[in-house]
Amino acid sequence: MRVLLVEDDKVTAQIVQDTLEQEGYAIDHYENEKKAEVEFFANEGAYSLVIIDIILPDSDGLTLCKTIRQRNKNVPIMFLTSKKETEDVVEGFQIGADDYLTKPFSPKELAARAKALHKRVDKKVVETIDAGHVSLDRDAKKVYYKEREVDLTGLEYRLLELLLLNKGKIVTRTEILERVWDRNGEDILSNAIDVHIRSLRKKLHSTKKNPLIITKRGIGYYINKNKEDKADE
Amino acid sequence: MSKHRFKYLSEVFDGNNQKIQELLQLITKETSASLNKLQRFLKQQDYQQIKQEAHKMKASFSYIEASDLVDLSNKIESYINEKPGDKVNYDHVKKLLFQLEESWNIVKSKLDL
Repeated sequence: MRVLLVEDDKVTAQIVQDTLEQEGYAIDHYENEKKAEVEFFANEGAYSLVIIDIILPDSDGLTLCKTIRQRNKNVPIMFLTSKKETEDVVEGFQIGADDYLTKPFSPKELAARAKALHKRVDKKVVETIDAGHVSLDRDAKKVYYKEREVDLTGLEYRLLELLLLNKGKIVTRTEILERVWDRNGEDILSNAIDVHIRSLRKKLHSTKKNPLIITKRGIGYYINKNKEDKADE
Repeated sequence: MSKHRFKYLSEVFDGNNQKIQELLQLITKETSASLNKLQRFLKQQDYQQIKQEAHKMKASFSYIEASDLVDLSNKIESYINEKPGDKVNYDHVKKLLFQLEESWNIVKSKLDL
């Protein structure tokens, strides 16, 4: 579970990090709005929660919340701020935040709220992840190529979902074994991953000339981020 | 400051003294940097930046339960908020920043770093 934390106050960031890491979250911390926005859209789908401070040095958290909401309706967004006035809270919810917590916050309360938001989204996973002509509907657990359904096995679906959730980032062979096969590699043929990747490539028309799934030799695989524009043919 | 020292930080770090100390050091470092920034902004008469920095400092002060410092930060923030840009009184802001620095020095001396 990955959290994007946008907070210019290093002290608050340290407290949030410590609290949520104890609950098993991994935190990506950014101090300004622009960098956080770039990071979020570069790894869309990877975050299970976004925590934003309202007053930031280069802009404000409200703008970032609006930008994220325009393109992503699903990711839970929580404001964490010293602004306590009712109108600030109302504005936060109006522009699309799911939760609003004021400083100083109780770490137990932060952890509980993060968990609740994560659960709520987990229950109604209505997320679609796109890359080029490929579209993965996490709610229906279906994959489409040029809007036509592709018949994938359970393993192929989980493998593609993992790669798409980490679009643009290398997913190592160890991570694939742990998260797709649900174990540390014992009893699995050494070429099992390659076989499934080959099959996925074939079904999704990923070729050397026009690659969707790229091999990082000896390390793992990643999804070609440049396929996002759907204008590659 | 609270009778129970750093009750909030104890809750955050589950009573781990080393971690509490590390955070107190971070608070000291960040507050000193903010106070320097405030003096720079005052020289530039950049009151919006002063307001923003005072707002930012408030969180740290609340974590160590330094309510006087939270109140002073609030005072600075609301004074600048209530005045249109050209009506902000330089000397009044200077006085508030001086009070903030003085109060911080007292709190800092009690942190046992």
